[in-house]
Amino acid sequence: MLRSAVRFGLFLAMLLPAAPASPSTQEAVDAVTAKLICDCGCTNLTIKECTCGKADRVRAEVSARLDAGQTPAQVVSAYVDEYGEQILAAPTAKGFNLVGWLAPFAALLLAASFLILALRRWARVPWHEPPLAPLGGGGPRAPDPSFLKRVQDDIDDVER
Amino acid sequence: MPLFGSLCLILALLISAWSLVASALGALTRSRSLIASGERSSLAVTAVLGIASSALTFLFLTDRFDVEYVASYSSRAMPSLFKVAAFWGGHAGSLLLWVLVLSTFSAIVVLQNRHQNRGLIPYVVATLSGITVFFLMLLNFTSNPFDLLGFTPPDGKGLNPQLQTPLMAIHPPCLYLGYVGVSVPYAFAMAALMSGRVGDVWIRTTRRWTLFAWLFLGVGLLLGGYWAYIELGWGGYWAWDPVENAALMPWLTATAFLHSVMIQEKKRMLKVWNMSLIILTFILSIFGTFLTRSGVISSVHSFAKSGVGTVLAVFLGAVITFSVTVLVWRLPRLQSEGRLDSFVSRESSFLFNNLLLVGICFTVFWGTIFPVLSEAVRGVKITVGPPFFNTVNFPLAMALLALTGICPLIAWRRASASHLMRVFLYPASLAMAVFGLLLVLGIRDLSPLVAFTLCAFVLGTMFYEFYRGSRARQRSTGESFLLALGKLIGKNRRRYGGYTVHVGVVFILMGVVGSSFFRQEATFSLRRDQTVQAGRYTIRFQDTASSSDEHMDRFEAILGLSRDGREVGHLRPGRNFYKSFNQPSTEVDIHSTLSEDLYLILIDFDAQSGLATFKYYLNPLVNWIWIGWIVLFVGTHLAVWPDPRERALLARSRLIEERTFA
Repeated sequence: MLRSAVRFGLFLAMLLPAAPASPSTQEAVDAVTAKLICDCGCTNLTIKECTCGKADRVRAEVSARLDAGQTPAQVVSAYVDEYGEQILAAPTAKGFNLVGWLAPFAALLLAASFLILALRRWARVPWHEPPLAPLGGGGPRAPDPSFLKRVQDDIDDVER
Repeated sequence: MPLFGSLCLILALLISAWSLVASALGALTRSRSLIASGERSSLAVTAVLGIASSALTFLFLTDRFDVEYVASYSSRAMPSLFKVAAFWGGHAGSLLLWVLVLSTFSAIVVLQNRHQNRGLIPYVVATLSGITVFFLMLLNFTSNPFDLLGFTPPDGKGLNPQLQTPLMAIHPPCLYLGYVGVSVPYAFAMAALMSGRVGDVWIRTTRRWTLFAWLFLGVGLLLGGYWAYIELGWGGYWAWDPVENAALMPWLTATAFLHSVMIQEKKRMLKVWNMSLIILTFILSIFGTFLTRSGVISSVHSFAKSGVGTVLAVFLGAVITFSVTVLVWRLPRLQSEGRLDSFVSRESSFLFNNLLLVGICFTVFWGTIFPVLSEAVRGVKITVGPPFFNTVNFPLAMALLALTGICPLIAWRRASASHLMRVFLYPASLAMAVFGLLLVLGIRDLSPLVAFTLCAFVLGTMFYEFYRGSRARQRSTGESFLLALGKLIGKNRRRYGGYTVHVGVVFILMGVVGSSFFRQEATFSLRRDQTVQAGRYTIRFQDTASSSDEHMDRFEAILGLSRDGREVGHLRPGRNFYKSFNQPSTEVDIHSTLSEDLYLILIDFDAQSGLATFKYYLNPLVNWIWIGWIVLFVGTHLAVWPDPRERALLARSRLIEERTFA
C-alpha cells in the first residue's frame, strides 16, 4: 500500500509542468521537442529524437519561436492549435485523458487489493491437515526449541 | 512452379482440415484409428508446407518476377541471402512462414508425445490443426504469395535497403518461433481442459516449449532493438511502437506464466490463474498479428492489407470465446488442492511478481489502444507515445526489480524474521554501498539512483545465492569451491538457470537506465582537421571517401578518435545511396566500450565549403543490454537442458493422472 502511494506521488510529480527555461538554449528546445511526436511515419519517435527532415525543420522552428520570446508552454500550445492534440507525444493530464493516465494504476491497485485479500484467506484457512492430537501427560514431549531452530535453518538452506 | 505452390497450399488446407476433424472425432469416440489418422495428417501438412516454402524460395532465387510477391520484395541486384530473406519481407510470405513454423511445431509435438500423453494428444493435435486451418485459409483466400501479376516486369522492386542486413534476415523468424511457439502450451492447456486431465502433466510437458517460445520472442525483440540501434541513426533501440508493444505483451505474460506454474507444480494451486495466463499469452500473440496485419494502427512494421484485419478480428473473437467457454466449463475441476503456509513466503512473492508483470502488460496494452478509445469517446485523435510508457512503467519496473531481489531470499512456504535478517544482510549492504557511491559520483536524480541501487541489490542476491549454495555443498561433500559451484548448477539447472536469467535482466535494465538517463548528444559542423570534444573523446574530421558497387554508392567521412588524449581509432559514418531504391540511408558508426558508446552520424556534407555536419550520442552502459541478453540466453539454456529430476517428476505426474483416469 505504502509503495503504491509513493509510486503514485512520483507519478504525479512527473506530470507537473516543467519550469520555463531561458529561451533558445539547447535544453529549452529539447524540453519542447520531447513533448511533440514526429508523424513522419518511420518510427514512433518524438521530434527531439527523430532523424527525418521534418523533425529537423520543427526543431529549427521551435528554436526560432523561443528566440522570439515565446515561453515553452506557448510554443507547445501553438503546435497543438495547428495540428490538434495528436501532435503531443503523450496525452495531457486533463479530462478524459486522465482515464488514460490513471487506469493502469487503478487497475493495479484494485488487483493488488484482491491479491492481498486472497493471500490472507489462503494463508489462514487450514486445508487437509487433520488437527493435532492434544498434548496430554502421556502424549509426545514438546521438542527442544534449539532443535526446532536447527531443523528450520536446515530446511531454509535446502529449500530457499 | 507458382501453380504448383498454390496447389500445395490448397492441399495443406485440406489435409489440416482433415487432421482437425479426425483428431476431434477420435478424441470424442476414442477411436484409435481416427486419432492416428489425425496425427499422420498433421505430419503430412508439414511436409506439404515444406515443399510449398521451398517452391517460394526457388521462385525468389530464380528471379521469377511474374509472381507478384517476388516482384514486390526482390530484385536482380539483391544478394542471394536477402533473396531468401525476402521470403518473409511481406505479408503473404511471412504468413506462409508462420504456418510452416506452426505445422513443424505440431509435427514435433506429435513425434515427441505419440507414445505418452495418450489422453491429451488428440485434443492437442485438434487445437493445433484448428489454428493451422485458420492461417491456411487466410493464406489461400486473402494473401497467396504465389499469385501471378499477369505480366513479367523486367526487374523487381527489391527489399527496402534498411532491411538488407543479416539481422533483419533473422529478426522475423525468431519472433515467429516465439509467437507460434506459444501455441504449443496453449494447445496443451486446451487439451487439459477438454479432456479433464487438469493436473500438472500439461504444464510439465510444455515447460520447455514455453521457455523456448519465451526465449525466441525475447531474442526477436532484442534483434529488432539492436537493428534499430545500429541502423536507424537515432541512437536508441526501443520506441514503444505499437508492433514492438505487440511482441512485448505476450513476452510479459509468458514471463508471469513461467513463474506461476512453479506454484502449481509445488502446491497444486493457481490452476485457474495458470490457464488464464497461457490463454492470455496466446490471445496476445494473435492480437500482435492482428495489429501488424490489420492496419488498425499505423506503424513502421505494418503490412496493412485490407480484408485481413476483419478476418483476424473474427478469429481473435472465436479464440477468446472458445477458450473462456472451455475454462468456465471446467472451473469445478480446477480447485486448489493446496494452501499457503504463510503470508510472507516465496509463493506470495511470486504472486506479486505476476501482478506486476501483468500490470506492465496492461499498461502497454492500454497505451496501445487508448488512442482508438479516445477517438471513439471524444472524437479527438491523440497520441500515446514514449513519454507515457516510460512514465507509467518506470515505477512498476522498479517494483518488479525489487521483487526479483527479494523473492529468492524468501523461503518457500514460510519465512522467519531471523532467517530474513540473515539473508538480507549482504545484498542490502551491497545496495547501500552502491547508493553511497552513486551519491559521491554526483548522481542526484532520484530515478536512476533508485534503479542502480536496486540493480546492485538484485545482483548481490543472485551472487549470494550461488555462493551460499556452493558453500553448503562444499561443506557437506568436501569438494573444491568451483567443483561445488558446477555441481550445484548441474544438479539444479532450473533454479540456477533462472537466477542466471535474472542476472541477465539486471544487466539489461542497467543498460536501459544508463542510456536513457545519462545520454548526451550534440550536433556539430567541422571542416577538415577541426576537432570537437564529446565527453572524454576528441573527434577530428580527417577526410572523406566514396566508393561504388553494383548495388549502391557510398559516401563516408573519416574521423580520428582519441580518448583522454590517446588515439583509439577511426569512425566512418556515411550515407548509402541504393540504386534500386531512390533514397539515401544513414550509416552509423559506433565506438563501443563497456562503459559507453560513442555513436556518430553524418548528417550533411557540403562539398563546396567542405563543411560536414555530424551528430553524436554518448550512450552510457548501452552495451550491457546486449551482454544481458547473452547472459539471459545462456541462463535459459541451462534451464531448458534436459534434466533427469524434471523427467522423473513428469513421469510421476503422468502416473498419478493415469491412475485417476483408469
